[in-house]
Amino acid sequence: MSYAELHCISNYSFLRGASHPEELVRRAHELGYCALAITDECSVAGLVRAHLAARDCGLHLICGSEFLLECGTRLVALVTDRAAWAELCTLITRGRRAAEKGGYRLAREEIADGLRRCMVLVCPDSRQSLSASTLEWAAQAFPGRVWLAVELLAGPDDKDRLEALMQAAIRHRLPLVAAGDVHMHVRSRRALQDLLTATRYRCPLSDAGPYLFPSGERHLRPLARILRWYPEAMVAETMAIAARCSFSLDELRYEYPEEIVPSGHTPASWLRELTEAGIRRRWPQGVKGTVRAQIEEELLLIAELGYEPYFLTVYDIVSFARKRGILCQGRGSAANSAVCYCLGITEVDPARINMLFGRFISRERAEPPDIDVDFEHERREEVIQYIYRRYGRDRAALAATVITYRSRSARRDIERALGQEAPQAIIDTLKGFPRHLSQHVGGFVISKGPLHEMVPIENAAMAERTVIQWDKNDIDALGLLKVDVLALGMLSAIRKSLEMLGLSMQDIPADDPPTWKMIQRGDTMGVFQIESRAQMAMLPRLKPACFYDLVIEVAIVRPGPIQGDMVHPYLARRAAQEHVEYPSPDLERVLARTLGVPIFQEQVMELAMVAAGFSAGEADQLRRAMAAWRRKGGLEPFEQKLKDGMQARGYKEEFADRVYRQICGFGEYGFPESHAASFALLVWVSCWLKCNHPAVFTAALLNSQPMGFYGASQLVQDLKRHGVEVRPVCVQLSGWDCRVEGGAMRLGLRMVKGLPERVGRRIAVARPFGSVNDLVVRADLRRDEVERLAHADALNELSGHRHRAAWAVAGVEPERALAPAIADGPTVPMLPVPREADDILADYAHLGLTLRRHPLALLRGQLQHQRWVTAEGLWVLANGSHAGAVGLVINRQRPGTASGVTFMTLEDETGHINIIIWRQVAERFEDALLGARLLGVRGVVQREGDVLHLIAKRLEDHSHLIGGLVARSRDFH
Amino acid sequence: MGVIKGLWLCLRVPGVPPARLALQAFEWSSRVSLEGDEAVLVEVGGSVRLFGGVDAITRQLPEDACWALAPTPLGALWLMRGAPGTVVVDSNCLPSTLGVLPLAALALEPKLHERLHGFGLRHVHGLLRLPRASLARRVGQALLDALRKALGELADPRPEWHPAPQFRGHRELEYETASDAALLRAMEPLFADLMALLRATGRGIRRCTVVMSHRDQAPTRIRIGLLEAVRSTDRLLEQLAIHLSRTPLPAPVVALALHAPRLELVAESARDLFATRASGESWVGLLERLRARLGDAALFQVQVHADHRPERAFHARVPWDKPTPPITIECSPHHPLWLLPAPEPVADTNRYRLERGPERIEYGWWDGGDVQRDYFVARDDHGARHWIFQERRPPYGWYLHGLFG
Repeated sequence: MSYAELHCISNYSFLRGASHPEELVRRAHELGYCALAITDECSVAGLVRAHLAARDCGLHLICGSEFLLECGTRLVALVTDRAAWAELCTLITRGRRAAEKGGYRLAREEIADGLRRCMVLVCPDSRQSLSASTLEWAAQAFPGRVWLAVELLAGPDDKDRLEALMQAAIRHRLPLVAAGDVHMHVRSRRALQDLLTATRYRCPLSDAGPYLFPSGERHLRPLARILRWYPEAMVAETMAIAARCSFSLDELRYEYPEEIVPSGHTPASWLRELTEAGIRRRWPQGVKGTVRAQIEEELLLIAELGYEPYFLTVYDIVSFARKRGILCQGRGSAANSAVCYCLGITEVDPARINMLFGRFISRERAEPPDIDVDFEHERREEVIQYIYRRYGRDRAALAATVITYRSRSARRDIERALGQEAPQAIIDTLKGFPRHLSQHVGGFVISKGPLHEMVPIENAAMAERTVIQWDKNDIDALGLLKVDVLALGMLSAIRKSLEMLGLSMQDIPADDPPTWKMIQRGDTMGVFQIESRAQMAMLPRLKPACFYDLVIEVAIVRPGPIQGDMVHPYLARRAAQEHVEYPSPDLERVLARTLGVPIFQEQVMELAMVAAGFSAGEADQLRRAMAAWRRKGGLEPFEQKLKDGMQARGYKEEFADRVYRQICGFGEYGFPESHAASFALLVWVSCWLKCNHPAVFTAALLNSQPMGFYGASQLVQDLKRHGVEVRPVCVQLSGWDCRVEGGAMRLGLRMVKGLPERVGRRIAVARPFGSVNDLVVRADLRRDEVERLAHADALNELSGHRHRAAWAVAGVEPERALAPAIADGPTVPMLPVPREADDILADYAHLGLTLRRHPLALLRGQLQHQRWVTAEGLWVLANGSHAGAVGLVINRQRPGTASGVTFMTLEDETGHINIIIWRQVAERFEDALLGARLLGVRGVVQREGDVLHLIAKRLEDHSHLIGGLVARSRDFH
Repeated sequence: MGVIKGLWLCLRVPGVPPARLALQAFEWSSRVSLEGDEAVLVEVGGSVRLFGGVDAITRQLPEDACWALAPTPLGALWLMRGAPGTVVVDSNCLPSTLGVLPLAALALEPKLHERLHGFGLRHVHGLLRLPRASLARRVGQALLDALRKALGELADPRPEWHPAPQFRGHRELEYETASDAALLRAMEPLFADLMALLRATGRGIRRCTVVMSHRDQAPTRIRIGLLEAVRSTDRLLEQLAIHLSRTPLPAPVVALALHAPRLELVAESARDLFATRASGESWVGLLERLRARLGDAALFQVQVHADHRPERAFHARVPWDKPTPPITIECSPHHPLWLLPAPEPVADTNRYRLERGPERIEYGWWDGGDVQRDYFVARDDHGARHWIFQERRPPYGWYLHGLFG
């Protein structure tokens, strides 16, 4: 006699279940259960995980869900077949959509109406008496497929309870079945389950008594105990029900949307036609034989795997964006194919980069290809709305992201419930538990039929957004189509630059020596990706000189390669031009392009396949394990396999060890080459723009803020340092956007803080003006609007300095219709002329930047006195000298790497100072580190070629000096 | 020294509401006016004449007081804010003295302040220099009038404050509580205000009502009546403590109010201005006396506590440590009402026949009272029904925990 547990929730019933779905499945299998139903509360979010685990160990998994109805009745629905699955998903969708995010609401009628095929267990609460009317209702609503669940959990009255249930069963002609109301896979999760309960009710454990279970019986119990406690017939009944539940998630057949193919075409013929059109557009002089061959090979592979609709769906979205003039760029495993280049999904010319499509879509792996498309960040919403319009809300929804417990949140919740320090063991267990579902940044799932018949859809926090109950991994595992529609600020800036220049992406040359020189200097503020501190420091060392170098540059300055210790070997080999020895010709093929050092995620997977004999599927599992091991562990099974495999193929043990270490270091941070390649193109385009049209590029960046690493102030100063004149905001001359005037850049009205766009545009249309009054009348300004302009010094041309402008503006009558008459005498009263410091601070306050002197210039006398050196001054010091510098803090960065180093950039009137702060110093001077706007750093100068760092020994908060500027400016004349 | 027509003291004491200051100042001058909840203004010209000098007044002010003296109330207020401790008795000196004040002393609306800042103005004299008509158009007549009032160019009549013939005090609690001790402590400032009023008016009270507001339920009212009119915090607190111990609170208290509808005559006992609170009003001593008088037992009460451990399901609690009314765990009919003070080891398990069970209790791992037991209803060899349990961990001992009636 075996047993099937039919009522079991996982930790996807958030803050209720205390075990992962996988743990439940494995435990049920160990105990010899014949089946296990995962029945999370109004959710199927944990089912795919359970499904994969069950497939691995060969357990019969039953899909189901638990519901607590508005009337207080608790039910479990179990899925029998595909149609029952559809009705369950539809029902969950209905309940979830009717409630706030995270909740659900279902009434009896809805359940009865919605569940016409599922098996139903009525689970009377142990604290509730059996309601005759409920049983009556259930017996009628689900004829022939409803049971009364007997859940004996060592309560005070199990015997009476069993008795009562048996009588009720007879009275209402309901069969009885054993069940366990399982909340955890083993009894030892009791403590965690108690903590989750207390957290759910937001009270300390000591007050949670009414909500806590009296014992840890709600776990998967050994068969022997089940058989001892339950009458045999009730146990047998579990198996009978299990036998009727034959549905498996493997039966879900994803079907691609159909409307992407015009009538008269098959997906294949349509893709062929579009590709051929693309070829003619891309290579008007005719396509090279090798490229043609690659295209044919790709089309063959696509046809073989039936992926045409996927490419066509992405093409459809991209075409929409193109029609609207929204710049976009694909990336990901399939995006860098020649076919995608022809379809216009990417601009990365396959001839430009040596990449094989086959590497990214694998014949063995049954997953759909992966194309992420980045859109201009200000216009992505248009694309999203298009997708909803095109496919309808019942066929398109965002993927979920499972928000899980991290160490910190786990500690916080446990300590809140416990009222004392949390034991590490419990924190470790709670880590990785799902906490709630959130929306994926842009992953759309689109289907042919109603999506809610495949997976439940629920409300997201954002109004008008809906998410499915599965995340990215679940979708991958089941082979659902997902298109990532992402937002990228740089695309906005590039599109705006190109527009100003009258160019398009294709017009950007593939090679340009001055641009390479600029990149090699690390003079890259504002460009895509390689503008961060770490990237800027790497550029002079790596000295990129071709497109592929940029691909490497993008991928190498990441925590993965840094922790995997790949950076230094790579740089050394590159610098020394040394001959690289490869352990085998196979590996040479994999690693030659990165001089023998694995830098990309794909290389690690290939390495595992080539050197250790992993299948493509296993390599993919390795990739997933790599992504998760830092949080969950689980890389160990691969270690032995990898090392054994390599040994068997004759690789040295030491080499195998190193490869394994590299894989561990890589972890979740490994960057795929397929993404790096697309990014590198945007890097190149933005660098070319910056080098050749700095004013245009900066204007476009300012017009796309907020985005990127640096604020408007830094970008403008950088432009000035490059010798470009920057002109102030002026109502007589500025448009809404920043733009180029001759060789100079004119700041736009958009820089004026708090000025609405429509107002700015009105001003731009109505200018020039004869007086402040004229401005107010013709541009139809409210007082607060014209005040903002005065504060931003945008009225200088009309009324003189800031104080006079403010005076003039204040004299405008509040009722605009009566505005023209100004009754002041002919003379403007004597108002104090703003001091330089006043102006500078007002500029910062109302524009966010100043075109006057840097505030540090005003303080320099004082600072010099205290032996502080300027950014420029640091360069004349010898390597290793002790020095100190003061600057405005323009960014602080603590990468997620374990070393605990903080990078900071300070800015003074002569340039930037790069600071490195080791953990000890950071901890000692934490207040200054986190709080200072103006920071003084004393430390040691470290120079390496074109890179200079100040290694901090002391940090001093000098923010009061900024306040001092204000104080001094108080005395007026 | 010019002729003193009037002299205003503007006074603020951190942590003391102006209304209370006003009560105290009223013993000093009959012309008292409140400046919102910031400060109190007292016309002290008469007192200065009476006591012979400004120092005689300022010496009496508490050390942490913030004050200024000026011929105009607004002038005194601005000086108190911008240059505390300043004394101006000659109104001719006002323009120069007020002129150096930063604009912040005017406590203008942020928008107006911002606007003046935009003109480059930082101090009052900047304002005084501008043409008044143009300025008024830009900043409003109200500011101009204020300037003129401060300078004494415009009359500035102030509403005179008088102590109320009845008392109404109100206090929001920073935290919710149902503890008697905390509530009594929270009542102290209200009683102190009441006492100040009683002292200022030379009266006492015989009846008052304490209103305790809850978040969702109707407020709890406690009426205190005394045989004679009193002016003593002790007596009132004592009464309140006794009432509280008898009154069940439906929920934690979020706010307190004290109403005394009628102030009655009582024999006077003069007190010093700004005297500190008498130490005899300590609530601790009071509760001690109370407990001594009524006996410990009278102040304990039994409560059902939500805890699955049988020995903790019932609790004796002191009333001034009252928790929020718990949602009780259903009392099982299968649990005996009589529990032994502590479980006793069962020497011989053979004398028992198990009738019902096991009921499993695994609970309390977090507070050092971890319990893992299987309970049984068992009949002993004399036919009596006992409640016994076996430990679910080594050495799996058996214990007797309760007896059924």
